[in-house]
Amino acid sequence: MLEALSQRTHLRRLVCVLATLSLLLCMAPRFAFAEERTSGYAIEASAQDGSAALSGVDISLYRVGELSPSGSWKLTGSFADYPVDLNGLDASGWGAAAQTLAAYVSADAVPALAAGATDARGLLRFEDLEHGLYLVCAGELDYHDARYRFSPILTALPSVDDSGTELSEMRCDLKFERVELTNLTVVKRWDDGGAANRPRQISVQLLCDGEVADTIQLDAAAGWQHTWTGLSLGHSWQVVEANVPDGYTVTIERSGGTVAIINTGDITPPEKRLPQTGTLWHLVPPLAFAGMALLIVSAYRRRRVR
Amino acid sequence: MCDNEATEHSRAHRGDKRRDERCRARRGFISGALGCILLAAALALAIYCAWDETRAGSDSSRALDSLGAAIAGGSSTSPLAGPLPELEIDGTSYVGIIELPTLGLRLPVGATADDAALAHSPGRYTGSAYDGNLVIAGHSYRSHFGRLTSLQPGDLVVFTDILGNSFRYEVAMTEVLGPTDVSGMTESGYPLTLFTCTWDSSRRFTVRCSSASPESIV
Repeated sequence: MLEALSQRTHLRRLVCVLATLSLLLCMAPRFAFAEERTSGYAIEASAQDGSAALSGVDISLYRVGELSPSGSWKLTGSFADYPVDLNGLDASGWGAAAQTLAAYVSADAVPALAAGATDARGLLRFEDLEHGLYLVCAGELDYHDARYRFSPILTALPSVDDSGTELSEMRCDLKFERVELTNLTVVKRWDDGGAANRPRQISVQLLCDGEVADTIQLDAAAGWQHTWTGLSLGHSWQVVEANVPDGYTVTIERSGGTVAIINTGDITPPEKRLPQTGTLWHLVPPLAFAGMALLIVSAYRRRRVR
Repeated sequence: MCDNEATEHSRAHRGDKRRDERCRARRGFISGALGCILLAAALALAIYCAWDETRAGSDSSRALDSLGAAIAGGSSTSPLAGPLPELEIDGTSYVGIIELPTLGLRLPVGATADDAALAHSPGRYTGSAYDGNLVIAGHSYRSHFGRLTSLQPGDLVVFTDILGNSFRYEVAMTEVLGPTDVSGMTESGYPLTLFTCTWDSSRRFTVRCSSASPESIV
């Protein structure tokens, strides 16, 4: 009987151990195979100039790469074949890589993953992104007589802060170069006495640091003038007439933002008589009086005959 | 015998008298016809002059609407020396707008002052507002320069070029020049001169204007 009791005790202990092991085995996958997050990340692009929010900045987002199993970055998708190394880079290296990839985007018209424009607060948010390496590119913005040129940024999702905490949302503060702008107006003047053989239109060139930047046609319908806007102040801008018409000499005068191209031609000789600017009203009274007088004479003669 | 002679004489006298009467009647008819012709000519001329006045007024008004809109939409730049810039509208070039507030006039100014151009609006005869020697001619239509004789010294005159630059003047004096006094008209030294024909079109009624300071405008 004692032996039987001992056997039942051993059996109960065995069942408890097996049950515990089973329980542990059932729960083990939850700890050992916890689900890895691969989406739901966000990027918020910010365009600010001091306290001024830059709204309307066009921003394009590209997923350029991802982490390989070995822990190194590799380019993926449309960027896979570009010869750009993303590993072992310092801060300036990442900036150069971003510029290089942005140049390829422009040259090859790579379609963006997402695009938009900053709101009144100068912010644009991209949500529900996968993990990976993203390129943020912003277009130029003309704002208050200045042009903003933004630098592209590479940012990783997820990232970690200084304390090692994983960040599922990245804020990209767009860096920019601000260039002052100016306008230039060209006005054509004719000093030819209204010559009938004046050309119907002329060709004018805009030079930037001596190189032809633009060529336009001036004609009477446009008032013989044209204005170029958004010219960078950091360059030398000049205006020249492409082909001076035969029989004319040219003089260029500049005052502030206006350039006058004056063509002087053969002036008609001065008139010897001032133009006739009268009407014919002064002939009406003499004609009427003469007619009335003749009618009176006629009536008198007829009465005498009777 | 004597009776026959007297009868013959009397008959001849009556014949002469009838011939005189017929001659007189014929002259009367001719005078009357000529009188009617001249009266008809006077009436026709008056109707033509009235129609020409109306046409000139509507032509300049139509051009002013287009020119005013173009100048309003243009950019204003610093005035420069040299000839005035021109703007072509419906095949005619203009250099700006002249305003005479005391006469209630606002007229386009054509780029030239030839006969064809003056029929539609006053025109720039010589000079430039930039150089301070602008001379504008206009027909004596009531809707153009026909009322220049009503201007008094001190009255405001404003010229606006096609770029939107406004030049303010005030009437300094008026005078009458001969039809061949071209140098007298163009070399007066005044920055703005307006002229038109006198009533009989034999001479030129001329208005000289000096530059106005803001304080001197009435």
